[in-house]
Amino acid sequence: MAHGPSLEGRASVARQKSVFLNLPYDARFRSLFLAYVAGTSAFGLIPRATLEIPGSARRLDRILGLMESCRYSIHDMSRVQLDRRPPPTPRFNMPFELGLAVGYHTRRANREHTWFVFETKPWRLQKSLSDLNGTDVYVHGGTPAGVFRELLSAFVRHRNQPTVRQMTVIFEALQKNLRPILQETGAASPFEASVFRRISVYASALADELVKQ
Amino acid sequence: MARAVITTEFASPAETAQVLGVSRANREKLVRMAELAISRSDSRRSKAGSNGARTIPRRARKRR
Repeated sequence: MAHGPSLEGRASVARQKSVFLNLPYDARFRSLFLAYVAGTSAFGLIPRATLEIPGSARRLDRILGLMESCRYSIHDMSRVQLDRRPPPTPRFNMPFELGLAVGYHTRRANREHTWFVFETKPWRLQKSLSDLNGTDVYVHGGTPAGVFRELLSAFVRHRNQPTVRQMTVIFEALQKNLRPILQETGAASPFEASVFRRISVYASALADELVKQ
Repeated sequence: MARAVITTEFASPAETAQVLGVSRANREKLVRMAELAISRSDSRRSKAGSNGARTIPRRARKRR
């Protein structure tokens, strides 16, 4: 009798296709959030995010576990300004998770994790996080088209290389069908686990139709 | 700039759903939605291209 791949084997294959998205979860970032899901799905990758993690005391362990289950990570450092709600506070989660990824990669046994830093503005990261001087920063200019362009600079596929046009079609379909998905899940924003999971599967199905040959 | 070369197979919707914990029923619904979205965009493209006519946005058509 033929046996399928073991649980461990399946996890390893899934890891090779998974990308950890370290992004701001706020209304102004909604469009770029969808662009990252569309773009990474167009590359045949599975987006993962801390949105999937329920709040608990062991959140840090779970973030580390999630990151370790991904071959790649993308860290968008666009939100460096103070938020408007009192007390005005900068957001430390994204640089902190970038630090975790760099630390994880640096350990000799984990060289197989590849991380990328994305930003809206050129040269700002050299000021906000000068420890990363010498690291390539992918500057998207705060637009979905810029995210697609920079994803194409960061990733390449031997087969089924997506185009900006295909990524745009996936992005537009996500935007168009976000409302029914929100209604179905009863969620108020895409920054909720149930919505993130569904839009990721939807984007994967769109990529499967459009990009995969 | 350094580029990561992806050598793995494309993640299928079924694989994506399994990793993210989306049920089979929801996955099938999302796949149908995607098929519909793609067929609509295909037919729109082919309609626009078939007769060589210039595509006029709906809002502009109303003004005529």
